[in-house]
Amino acid sequence: MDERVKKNMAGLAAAIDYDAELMLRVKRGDDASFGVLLEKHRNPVIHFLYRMVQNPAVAEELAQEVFLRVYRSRASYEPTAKFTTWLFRIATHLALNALRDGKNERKQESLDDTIESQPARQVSDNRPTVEQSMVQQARLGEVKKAIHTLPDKQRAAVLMHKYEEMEYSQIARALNCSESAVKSLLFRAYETLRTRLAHMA
Amino acid sequence: MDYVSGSLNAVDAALFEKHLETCAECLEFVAGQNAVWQALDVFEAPAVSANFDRALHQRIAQTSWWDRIAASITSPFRTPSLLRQGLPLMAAAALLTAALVVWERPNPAPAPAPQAATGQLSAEAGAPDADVSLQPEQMERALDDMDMLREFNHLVISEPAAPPKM
Repeated sequence: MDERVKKNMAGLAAAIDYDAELMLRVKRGDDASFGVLLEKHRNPVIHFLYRMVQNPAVAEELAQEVFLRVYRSRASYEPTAKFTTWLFRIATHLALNALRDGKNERKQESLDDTIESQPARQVSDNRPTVEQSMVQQARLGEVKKAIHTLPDKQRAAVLMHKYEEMEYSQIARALNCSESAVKSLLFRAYETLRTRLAHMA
Repeated sequence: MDYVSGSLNAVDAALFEKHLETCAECLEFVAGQNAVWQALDVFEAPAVSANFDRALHQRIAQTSWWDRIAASITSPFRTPSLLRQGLPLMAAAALLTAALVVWERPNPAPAPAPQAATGQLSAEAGAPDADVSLQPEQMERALDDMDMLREFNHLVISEPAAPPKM
């Protein structure tokens, strides 16, 4: 009986989640579907990881591991949750481990160096003056520092909420905690950011 | 948070906006949250490396062979098993290897022809791994065999037929 309910739920999840359907095809040996999933989720996963560890090389390394794990676990995949939730659960797990092990610190120059090495990426449209560029870079540096100093779980929650537009329930599953815990994490994180970035308003 | 992030539904958003008209505290909170929300927009991620997909597919290709083996072992009844398909081949390879080992093993009682054995020995003595291919006992045995054959030739066969003088 339980097995039947589980199967029905899996089928329902697959029906409402096209990504889950693609993953089921990968499970059946369709590697092209894996390519579709990679194309769709590559950038969000790498961007999330980049904002977590704030190091592009480490972020891509971790993203490779995320997709490798997705591919490796295709045989045992069951669509019990939304595909993106599962994907970000893996990504968050790897990012938190990397942060705990200080992996990003080893490869990272100082935060300031990283900021300097990205010249005017965000202000390239209207040919900003040198002064505008410097202001923009300073703002970016402040934001990165403010996010960097958040506790790891709060950081992950904010990044999933703000940049990936994930729902509380999805974030909760990715972080393996309750929805109310996620709301609490987000509230504290945004309060901290508000205090640290108040001068930028 | 939902209001600032735009995830609040239209009805609730309208109600909240009505509330904001009369609540200075909430208005201040929303203004602060809006400022944070906008500030975070500047944090863009860099472009992804062009070779990301290629590197990933290489890693997948490297591991997939082992994956298939592992999958065959862990779920032999669910998927067409590589292990089962390869079993006859593996058995044949094992038999062939065993046969080669037996073939290569030194015969305990060979009686090599004296000339051939001498040639073999002298050739192998110069080889760098001569000690590996020819054991001292084998040499001793070969020399004994040669002596025995020489003696046998001398005693039993009287005199080899000498070619007639022309």
